[in-house]
Amino acid sequence: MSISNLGLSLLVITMNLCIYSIIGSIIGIRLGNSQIKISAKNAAYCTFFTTLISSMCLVYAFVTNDFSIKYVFMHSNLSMDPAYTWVAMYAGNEGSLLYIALVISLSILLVLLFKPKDMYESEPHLIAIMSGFLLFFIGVMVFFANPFDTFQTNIPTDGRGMNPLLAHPGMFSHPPLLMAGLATISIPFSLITSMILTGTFRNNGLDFVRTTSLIVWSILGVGLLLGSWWAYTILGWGGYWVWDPIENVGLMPWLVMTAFIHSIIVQRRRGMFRVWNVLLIFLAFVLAQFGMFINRGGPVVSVHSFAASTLGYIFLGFMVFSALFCSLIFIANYNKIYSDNKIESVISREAAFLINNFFLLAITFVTLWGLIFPLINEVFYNETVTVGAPYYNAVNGPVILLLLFIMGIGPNLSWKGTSNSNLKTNLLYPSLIAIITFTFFFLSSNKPFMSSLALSSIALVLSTIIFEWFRGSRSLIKNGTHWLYAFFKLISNNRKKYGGYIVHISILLVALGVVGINFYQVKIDKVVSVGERIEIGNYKIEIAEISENNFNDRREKVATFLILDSNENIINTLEGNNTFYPTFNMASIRAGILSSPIEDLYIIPSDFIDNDTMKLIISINPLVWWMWLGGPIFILGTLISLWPRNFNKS
Amino acid sequence: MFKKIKLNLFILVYSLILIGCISDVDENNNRNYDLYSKIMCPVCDGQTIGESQASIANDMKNIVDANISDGKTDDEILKYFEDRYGTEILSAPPNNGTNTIVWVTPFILISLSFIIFSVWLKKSAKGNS
Amino acid sequence: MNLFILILITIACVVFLIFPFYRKKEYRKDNNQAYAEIRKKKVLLELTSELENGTISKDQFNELKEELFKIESIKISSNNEETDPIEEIIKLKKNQDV
Repeated sequence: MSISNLGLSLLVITMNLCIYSIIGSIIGIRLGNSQIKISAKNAAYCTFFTTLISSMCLVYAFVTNDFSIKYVFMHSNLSMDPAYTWVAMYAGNEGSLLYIALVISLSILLVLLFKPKDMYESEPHLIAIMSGFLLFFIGVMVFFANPFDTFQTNIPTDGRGMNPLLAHPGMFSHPPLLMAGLATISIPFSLITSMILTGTFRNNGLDFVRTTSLIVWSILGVGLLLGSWWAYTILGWGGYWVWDPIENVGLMPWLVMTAFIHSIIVQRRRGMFRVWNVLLIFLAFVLAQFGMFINRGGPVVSVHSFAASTLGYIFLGFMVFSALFCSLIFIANYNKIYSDNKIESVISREAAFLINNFFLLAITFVTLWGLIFPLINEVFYNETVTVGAPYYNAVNGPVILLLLFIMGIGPNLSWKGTSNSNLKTNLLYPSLIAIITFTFFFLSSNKPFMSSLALSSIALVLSTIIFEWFRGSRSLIKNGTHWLYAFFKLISNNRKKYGGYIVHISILLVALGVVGINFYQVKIDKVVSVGERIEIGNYKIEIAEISENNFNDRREKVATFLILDSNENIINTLEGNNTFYPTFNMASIRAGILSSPIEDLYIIPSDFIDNDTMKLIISINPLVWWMWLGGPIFILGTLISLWPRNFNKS
Repeated sequence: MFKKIKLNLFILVYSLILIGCISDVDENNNRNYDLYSKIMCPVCDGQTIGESQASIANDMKNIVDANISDGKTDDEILKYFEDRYGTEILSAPPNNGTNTIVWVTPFILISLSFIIFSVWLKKSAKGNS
Repeated sequence: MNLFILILITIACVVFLIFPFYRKKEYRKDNNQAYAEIRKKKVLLELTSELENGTISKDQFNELKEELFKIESIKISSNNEETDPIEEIIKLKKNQDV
């Protein structure tokens, strides 16, 4: 039996296990028979192992260069760096479906193992829903997109190769994290749905939902940021986010999940926003399926959509089905969900969370609208338009700014209502700092308004966090503890809160990088020869060498740059290349980047004119370094927020 | 009283931001790059001519540069490309006819819903205290 | 070799699926007691938070506490899968007394 037969057979077995799991759970619920329920649960456990081994078959095929399998042929070749054969599995449509199935089956296993014991009533419902979700992906693979499809005759001896844009370290982290993040939205979705169905959607039963949601949200967030980093370093145009449809469909569920994780805090504390929370998680889930459709159906053109295929209709159908399913559940159970606890004051933390929800949904809507508008226009008016970055920047920009603003003010409002004196204590100094920051930048730079506003919002939020930190540790310091120790003790005693603040700080860092590159970038382009020098900012760049390397599958043109400081000392050597892949008719450009916390020197080898002349585009991108620093800080904040206490205070 | 100030301040900030965005924000110091970001590359998947290094993109960039040196305005240059390649060559729909909808709809919807939202918030808060 | 792996996995899955039907029902009953305790704690938490939010009064709290504890223990012992939402009852009670 060939490896491809084994792989496919295992997928078929997984499919049957899913069906058994779903039907068994339903019958077990109806008859109240726990043996059937446990058997169905075991079937769900088994799906992980069968999917895992099937995935291993595909990876094995890649690593051993088995080009009899069409998918392996399409996404690898003999001259590829062997490291990439381990991840080429998710480079294309069919294989990424298998990866997603693996993630879903793993999450079923982990959720069932780690869920709290008192959630046993909703367990069979949970199993049925998650197995149903898994069944969809397995079914699509078995019937429409088989990763193990083989050539019957004329087995090729070498493959086509992986898309050149994917041959980058980011390939090891961005796609798996992003896809995992989107797929695992099914976890909080299934948890909440199963709780609604069994009437156990209690305000105090949300700890596990919170934990899983935070993990899912952070995985998706890190995946998005990594994509940004990858775009910045490989696509070679100095951008980090272009509001590409594929980026957008990953962003929208993340925004809704952000609203969700904030909103369930209010449900836990005040028993409010129950309807909001159900709607938010349903929306996040449906948007994730919408993302699948856009990504694999090809109605929009993008640098990185998977090939256009009729698979699109299947994913569209599944998205519609999900939306109908959610609507049905919501309408049928509205009375169980609705709570009549009302907001008491506009100047309260609850109100701030509500405003937060509103803005996040506004950004989501704007992004969705920009994505759909060309499609609507084409279908109904037969007109083609493009909606690109200028639209998103103009419309989303202000809302994002307002979001930053709320991020600073919200945490300083009290539950139920804030007194005037509290408002003054918490917000007076930060507001002053914000106003001073605004004035300073407004008067000093040549791009006054928006950038100053953005920087002052960042200053506002940062100072509210720092002041709160000081206020909180003051009592500890008064008792004689050293201030650094008090600092950490405060975090340790209030992990959720301060973990959250650290995550907010990471968002500020990303915002700082965005402001730097969007508003203060300096760019020039020039045609230069070897030995020539260009001056930009505090740097002198000398073109040291232009060379050409030819490989089996690509032609590389490499330029070496010497970076000198104002005293003519060589501080660094950078390399940029422009590589052409004939099989893909695609060029990939790698820029030479010299990065420091203050700014990035970014050299794009735009065009190689002849043996010693080339066109360069050089830019100085301030503060981008901080954007990437935001990543690890984000992860740190999330971990602190999730770190369990041994003593659970109710 | 203080609460009223807070809400009004909020509305003030929001309006300021809106004004800031409606006014033309030149994102790069360079007019050439600003125009590059407004024209799509016809053969690349979803990249502007600023982002793409394809030869046709470079040619188009040169045309933009030449037109700027000739003293043409931004609108004239964009119209030039629109006439040759169709409206879809622009990275954002121009402000005319049906295409205004794409810009106007979000602004109106968000502002409207924010007003409705604030009114509702105030009402339900009043009803409770 | 691959065929062997396939057969092995198939057998393992089948075993896993059939296995619960041959285990006795005892272990379910043992857990009942533990579940009852956890459920009682959850009920208490829910009621306490309602009390703190000011949405039920102290009297309602005490009444509901007894009532719900009773319901929870009945539910466990009867293995009845029909669930009464705790909040449904709290809401009913609140509306009754208003």
